[in-house]
Amino acid sequence: MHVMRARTSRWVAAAALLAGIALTTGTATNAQADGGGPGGFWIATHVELSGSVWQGGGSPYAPVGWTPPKCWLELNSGYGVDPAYTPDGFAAYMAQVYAFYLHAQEDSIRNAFYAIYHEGQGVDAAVGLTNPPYNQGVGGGKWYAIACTPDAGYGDYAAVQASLGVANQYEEWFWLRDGAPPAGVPVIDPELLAEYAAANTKVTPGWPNFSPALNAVQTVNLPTLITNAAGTNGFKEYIAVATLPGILSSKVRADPESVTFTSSGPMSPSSVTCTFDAAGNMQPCQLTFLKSTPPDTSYTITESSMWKVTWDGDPGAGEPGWTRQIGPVVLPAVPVTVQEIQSIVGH
Amino acid sequence: MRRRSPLSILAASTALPVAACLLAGLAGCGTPASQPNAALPAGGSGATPSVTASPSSTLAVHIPADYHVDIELNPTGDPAQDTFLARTRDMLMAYEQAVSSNAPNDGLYQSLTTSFARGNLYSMISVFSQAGERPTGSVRFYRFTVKLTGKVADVFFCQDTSKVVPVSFKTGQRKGAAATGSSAFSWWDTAFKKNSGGAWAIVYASSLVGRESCMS
Repeated sequence: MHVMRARTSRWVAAAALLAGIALTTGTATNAQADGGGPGGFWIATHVELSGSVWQGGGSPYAPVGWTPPKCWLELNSGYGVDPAYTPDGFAAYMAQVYAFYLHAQEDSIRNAFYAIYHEGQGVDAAVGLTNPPYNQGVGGGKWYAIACTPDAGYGDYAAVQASLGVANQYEEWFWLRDGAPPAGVPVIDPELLAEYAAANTKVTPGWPNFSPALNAVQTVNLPTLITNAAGTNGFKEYIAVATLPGILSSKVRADPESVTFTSSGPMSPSSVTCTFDAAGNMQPCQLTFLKSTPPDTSYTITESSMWKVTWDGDPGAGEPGWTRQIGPVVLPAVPVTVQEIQSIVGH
Repeated sequence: MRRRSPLSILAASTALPVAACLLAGLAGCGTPASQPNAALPAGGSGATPSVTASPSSTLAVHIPADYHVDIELNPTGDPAQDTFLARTRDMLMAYEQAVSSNAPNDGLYQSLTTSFARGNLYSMISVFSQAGERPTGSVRFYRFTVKLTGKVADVFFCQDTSKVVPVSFKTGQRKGAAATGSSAFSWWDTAFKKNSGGAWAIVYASSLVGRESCMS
């Protein structure tokens, strides 16, 4: 994983390590940022996110009514072996794995892998190794590895292993016959990529137009109007893309669905929700403060918005696509001052 | 949660592995005590070796005085979770010792970890040793959470390296600037699993650079 691409690989260029080449290019290059390394076992996916996304995972928005994928099976890749999912490619890949662990003085791991994938000793049926080493000469399938999002942990990884029916922690790669995915464990496809992108989409809304403006003094019992033209104040369409390099890519788009305002002071209604139409225009709405703020104080007003994320589907596969919801996207509260109506008496 | 301790270097280098093993019931503690620490680099008074220990741990490590490691742990009230957190803290201090001494085969972190965790930490430490660099400045580990999934306990946390400056291990000369933006923030996972003897062992450790959400 690593170093070269801070978040995405799984096994890395042990060859470079063995050759004494410092893998110090890219984002995680030196003492500046710890992460990855020139070898080892990493559960992170090779899928890359681009566009408006939470890089590295950790989206603060919740998926509403759906569950994003945590781990899946992904075509094996890494160590600069391309492809690493054919029997020959997998053999070359595993040679790098063995080399890394010998160099790291972790012979037990190296030996465990070798026994399983080269010798076929004690291998569970779920691994799919029918002709050791590495299913040499076997066609109609490919080697896959379990891969997980940055938000998943080793526990999630181990759960997938258990779902696949393996008990040996060193059974990390699986031969899947083409068109025969295992039951209960997702295999990466355009829809899964889209879900991954949707779960990590980042939106940056601001505040709609308030009249009077929020930084102006509001008046008790006089409505404050809220409007927002399509695409303004950050209430626009955002694009997020998930890509398995060279193999698959899916794009989703996030659009505002509604925005809700609440206040620490009394107002009517107590919470107001403004919705967006298909063109992205917010339907005008209003709120009314019911009581003035005490001297030298202010209320706070809070904004939270909900967003719909749409994937157009995969026409080639007959997949119709979907729309999912994420949120709330909560902005820091802002102060608002409210005063009673001032009567002006003329003479 | 970390502060410097005036413990002597000698005491640290001799008593540490045994104490750590006794306290934590660590898997892998049957291995020999840690290897002698690599000589710390010359490079001015800032690189004078010091000893750092966490407040509630007897683990003592050799980390140069010009490198500060802050590990922000808060007690959860759950003894099991607090144990996982404390052991993660010890692993991090051992990791920082290995990084600071350019010692991928440092015995301390190896005594605290097993399996893929050892291999991954070896890999991460090798990045520094192959570059001939060690960190100076200050690093911060924070926002720790523990999650139980099946038979595995994952400890997740953020790392901020925005105040870490790499210097040459040999000369102490500055070799670059501190990372900026999301590249300075990493997301860690340290996983515990019971071994055949029923003791919790650190079986996996990873760090992913570029965690934007750790910035806020």
